[in-house]
Amino acid sequence: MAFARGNLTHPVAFEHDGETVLAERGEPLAVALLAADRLLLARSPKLHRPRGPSCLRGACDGCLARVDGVPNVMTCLRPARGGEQVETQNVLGSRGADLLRAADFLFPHGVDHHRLMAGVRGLGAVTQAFARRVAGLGRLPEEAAAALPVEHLEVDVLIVGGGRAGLGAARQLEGRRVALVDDGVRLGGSLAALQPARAAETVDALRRLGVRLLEHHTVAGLYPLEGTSGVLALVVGEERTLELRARRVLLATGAHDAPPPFGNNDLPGVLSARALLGLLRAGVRLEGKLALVGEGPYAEQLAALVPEPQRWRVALDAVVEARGLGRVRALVAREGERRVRRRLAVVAVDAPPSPALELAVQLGARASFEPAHGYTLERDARGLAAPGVYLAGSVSLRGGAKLSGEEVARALLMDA
Amino acid sequence: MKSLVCRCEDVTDEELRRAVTLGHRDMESLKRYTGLATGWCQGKGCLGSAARLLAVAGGEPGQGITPRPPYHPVSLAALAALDPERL
Repeated sequence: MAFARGNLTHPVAFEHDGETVLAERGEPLAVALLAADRLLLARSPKLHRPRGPSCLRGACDGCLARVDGVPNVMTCLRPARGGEQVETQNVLGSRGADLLRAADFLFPHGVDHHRLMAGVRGLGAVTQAFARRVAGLGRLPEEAAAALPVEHLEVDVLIVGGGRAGLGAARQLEGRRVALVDDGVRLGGSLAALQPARAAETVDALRRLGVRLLEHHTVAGLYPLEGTSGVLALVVGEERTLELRARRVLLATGAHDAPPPFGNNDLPGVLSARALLGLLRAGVRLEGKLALVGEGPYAEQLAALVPEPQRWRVALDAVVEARGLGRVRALVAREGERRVRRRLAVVAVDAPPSPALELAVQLGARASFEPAHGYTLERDARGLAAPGVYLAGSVSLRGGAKLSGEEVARALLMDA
Repeated sequence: MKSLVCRCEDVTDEELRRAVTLGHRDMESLKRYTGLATGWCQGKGCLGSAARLLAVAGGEPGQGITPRPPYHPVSLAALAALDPERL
């Protein structure tokens, strides 16, 4: 067993593949599923490898499920309200025993679709028909959804991201018309995992300041408004779409966690240290042993919360592979000349993250390669990355340094 | 035993190295050949790891790929009532 949880304060119940699961009202469905020790939630699209949540921030494929007849719902971004029907998609058989997993064993070196039966008359068509059956994600809903109503909003500053940097920036912008958009079910981002009390207090302060807080909304696209440094944002919520125009935009989109570089790195139970810390903050109890891989702020806090002998600290480059079938059961790592295998239930990885640069690049910011973080964004010392576009927090990582939300908001006010 | 770089499209480090030896020595070409970064998350998880692998294999990571909207996949219902004249 990896996880368990005690009594809930505001329990609601939903169904997962026909079985009842309890959730704290409003928490992500994926968190409730993990708390119920359900680690395997999905299957990969080609090889049907077992998958589970690894990031809990809408940036991986591990928690996709069919919810109330709608395919491909990221259950880490869907609040539990009670009564949901959550179903595993993309399997032949059951969640735990998917017959299509055979693909993984049949193709030990992966599927090279450029060479797989291509050009062989007859056989190519059969292979393609089979591949279409096996591959893909989910089935369409039974009924078409109704169009969401569109609302319009104009602000001085749009802040994207409600973590430490976005919240900090919003506090500096008192007196301006500010909208802050965040895709999580609750504001706070990683600050809610690292310093939950401070996150809650900051959000309360912003509500009092009258900042327009658009929780659980996604900035799906950003488009420069011609002839100005303003932007048009397409903001999508569960029940409405917003066309939002802003004179300036401050991106505090944070950074993504990459799958760590070792064998079977995609096994359910292998997750980012940030995701695990968030789970423990949500009252989830770690029942099994933990391998804590790598170093960073999340690993530090986890090391304090999970003492030895329940945890094993391992350097990232010492890990050889994870082992297990439907979930991680052991980790193999080098210790000097030897290889050590230890049984455990969870592997949490803290590694240098990659700035979430997608929206910045849409507005003309330039990315370049920096080995530790993958791609980082070109910006000046005040955070300006393109006309009217400012970066704060982890998305502003460049040459090992990042800018705080407060300092970038002050620079934005000076420029305006 | 596989080590996944791109989870969403089941692309392993071994496949990426093979693609580099076949001449796909920049991110766009690597992406088009292997399907890397074309899945559910559109490269959020894999872009950095793939660029590091490419650099080590002697390729040129350059500026990466071009991220386009939407940031997360969205339902057509979210777009259906937009007025193209106003945009």
